[in-house]
Amino acid sequence: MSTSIDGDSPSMRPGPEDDGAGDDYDAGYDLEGNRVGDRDDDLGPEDSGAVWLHEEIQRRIAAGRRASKGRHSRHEVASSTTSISYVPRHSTATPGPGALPPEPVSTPARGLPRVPAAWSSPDPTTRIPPVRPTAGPGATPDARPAAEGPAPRVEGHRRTMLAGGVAKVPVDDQGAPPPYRSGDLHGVRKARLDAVPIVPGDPDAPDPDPHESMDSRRVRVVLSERRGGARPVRTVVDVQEGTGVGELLRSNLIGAQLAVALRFAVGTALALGALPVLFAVFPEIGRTELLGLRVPWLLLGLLVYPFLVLVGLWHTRTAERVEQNFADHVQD
Amino acid sequence: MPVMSIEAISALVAMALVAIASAVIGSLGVRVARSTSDFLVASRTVGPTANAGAISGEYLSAASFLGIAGLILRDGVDALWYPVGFTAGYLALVLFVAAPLRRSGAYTVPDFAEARLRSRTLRKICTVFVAVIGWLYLLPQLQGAGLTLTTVTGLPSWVGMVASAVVVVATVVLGGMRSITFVQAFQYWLKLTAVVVPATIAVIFFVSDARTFNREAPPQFPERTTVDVRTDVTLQVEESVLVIYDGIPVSWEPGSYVVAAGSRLEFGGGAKVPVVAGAPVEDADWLVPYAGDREGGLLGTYSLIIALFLGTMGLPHVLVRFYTNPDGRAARRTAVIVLAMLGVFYVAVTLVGALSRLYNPQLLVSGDTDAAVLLLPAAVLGSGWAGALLGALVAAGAWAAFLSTSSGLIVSIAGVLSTDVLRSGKVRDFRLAAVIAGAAPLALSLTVTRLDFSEAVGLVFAVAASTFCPLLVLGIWWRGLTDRGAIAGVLVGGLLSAGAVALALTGRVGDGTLAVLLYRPALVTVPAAFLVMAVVSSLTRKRRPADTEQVMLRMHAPERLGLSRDRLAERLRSAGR
Repeated sequence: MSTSIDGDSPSMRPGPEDDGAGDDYDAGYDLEGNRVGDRDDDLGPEDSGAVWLHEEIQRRIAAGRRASKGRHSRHEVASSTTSISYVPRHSTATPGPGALPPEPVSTPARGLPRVPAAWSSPDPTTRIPPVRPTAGPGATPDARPAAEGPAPRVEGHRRTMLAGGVAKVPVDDQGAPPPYRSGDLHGVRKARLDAVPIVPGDPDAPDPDPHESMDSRRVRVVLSERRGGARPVRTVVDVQEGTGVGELLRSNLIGAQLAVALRFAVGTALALGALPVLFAVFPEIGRTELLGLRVPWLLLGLLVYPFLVLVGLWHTRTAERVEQNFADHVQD
Repeated sequence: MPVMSIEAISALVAMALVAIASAVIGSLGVRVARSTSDFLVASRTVGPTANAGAISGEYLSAASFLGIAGLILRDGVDALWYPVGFTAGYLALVLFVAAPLRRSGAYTVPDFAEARLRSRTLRKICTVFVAVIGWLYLLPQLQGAGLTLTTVTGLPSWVGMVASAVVVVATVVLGGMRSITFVQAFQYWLKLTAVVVPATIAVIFFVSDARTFNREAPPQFPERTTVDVRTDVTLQVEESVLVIYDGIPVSWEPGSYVVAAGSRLEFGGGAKVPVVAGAPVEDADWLVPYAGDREGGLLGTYSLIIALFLGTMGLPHVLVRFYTNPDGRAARRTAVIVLAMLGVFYVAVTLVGALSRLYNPQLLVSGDTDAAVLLLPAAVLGSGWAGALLGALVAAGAWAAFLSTSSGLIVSIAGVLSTDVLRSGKVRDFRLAAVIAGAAPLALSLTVTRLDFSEAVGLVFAVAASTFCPLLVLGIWWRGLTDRGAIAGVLVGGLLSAGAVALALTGRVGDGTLAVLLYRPALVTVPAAFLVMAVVSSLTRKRRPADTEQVMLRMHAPERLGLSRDRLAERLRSAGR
């Protein structure tokens, strides 16, 4: 991920699902960061063991590398990668690809689940809150074999999910849902749930209760949550709870930010810190005039301030880009 | 100086107006805040520009407003490192602290220490250092108020110190500073005006003059001048000069002379100016860096740069301000805007300081170089109404500088004292704490000799850089930090630097490398604090808090991931709307 510092923000989502550009929230930088909830490979990496984790890391690194090449080069590649790892898991739960019309590219209303207009006969079961069920450690062991099955087309698969609204896979749970959730996360999840109306009487709709939704771990809801924003995506859970991928992402973020900060600090320190020595070693600098001013006065009295402002601006931009990359990786 | 001249009265009126305007803006702001149901959340919506104005207003103290120009007048180009360091400190803040600190949710250093390392002991130690740093920083502010009052009215300086301490504590106690953001922002623009206007006028006069700095001679008195010496000074004379010493004409041959406090010296127009010991005498030396064997030299410069660059992030009243930003991004942007605002201000201050050497050379005799900004208007425009008006503006600016920094400091010290020492959130205890916070430095300021403002502030920055800078930087960026390591590092850095400051304040420090390091201890104490912190933390590896990873993630992850509690509250609110 650190390779993508200088690139554009990565977006590893399938291309046709791109949202409209108008739905960013306040900051305006997360047009690409709002792909929440429809990427299967965000599912807990820990539940499939070390091999899966390794694949996941490789894939993310590869995606990050691709992302640094530029906005246009990466969509197709990224989407194909995603498709392969994405689809088969659902193939255990869904009838199959290609049965329904293509998924409309829509811009759903903010915060509300909505059935896309182009989709005929909206089934009430689709009106599902965008619960993103989260799996704790040790969950969904059945995902593993599915992940290696043949890969149907992504669209078809999604459509299926749309039609079903919820694809609920029975999870042969080994015990209760993971008990530990940090307070933060819990709060955030609850917040999202509260914010979304739930259609009563929908038998398949997951209960907003977090425990309940944890039980129906395989629930996927694709509608409506195209929003970015503060949403605890699966990967966010990873990142926060110290799972393998989360650990990698997190140390990458802090490492990248530290590298950026140090680079700017060392550069500035060298530029400014060299001046006293230069002045002392070459006294003639102090007698040279430039633009009618002695060079030390010109440098220290005037030019140093725009220099500092520019360094600050440049760093702010760089650091924000690192953050965006991180958020995109996590939310995708 | 005549008591209660027109200048004096107009300056007093201007200072009173500043105090009243601040109180009015403050009370209006309080009303606004109270009408908002949630004061805290409302205060988090301060945008980068407004917040940057408030930070700059709070940060530009008497040391910046008066002290830097005085140092430039005396020491020349070497003194430019002070404003550069004061400004560059905000760059360090942008690079290492601003956004993560805002995201951590902590709003004071003790709070941050406890949130990150889960140690009550560390929190208490940090509380002590907040008070120490705040009091040391208040010291030059009070003395600056005293000097301002003495310079413009001729009253003894203790009157100014006591009066100003009372004004500031009263303002804080009566709650007028609660809407501190508006007041501080107003005071920034007032201060900027009060420096830019005289600087511009002086530059215009300078350009129309044929004078130059580049002369192999001491500065000259532009006209017949009387100098009142208020503290003992040692003067260096390079060319023989005629002086009327307490009414008796004498001729000073080249050499150095000790003039006792209370003496009155008179010089004729065009006479060469004797200069206080330790400062460059000739203009040509003053123009170039490290001319002659100037005090400190390279070692002092580097130690100063380290102290100022790293000390800004440890100032208690600065950190609080970043909490009022809506998010980490805004915190970074705020700091960048602060960089620009400080830059504009310091360019003007530099001009004032340099031109004072032409227009106010008598300050080099009395040693009261800190009064340069205050006296420039009269020196340039004469003692007519224009000079009086401009002088009043400058006095108002100095008063604003003093008020804003002092009230910010007293608010943060009192906040820490009332929550961590008095241990109750009651308003009555906060008021008591505010009185304590103001009384301690007042007592100190009445007893210790006055250092140059910027020198004194430099010492404070050294303490901040040796204690809170390592704590913040390592706490934010290194997961290996432990409470034991932090405590050890803060204590080592704090005791070393505070000890050096105490020694320096006694004024009995000789010359040589050791003296330079006592005056400017950061070069030694900052690396020592970092080193101790890292080594002890490595030795106590097992004491790392269990939630280190979560806390660090929250500090670094952008808000849109929804990891921070504040963000959650905002989003809930917007969802409910």
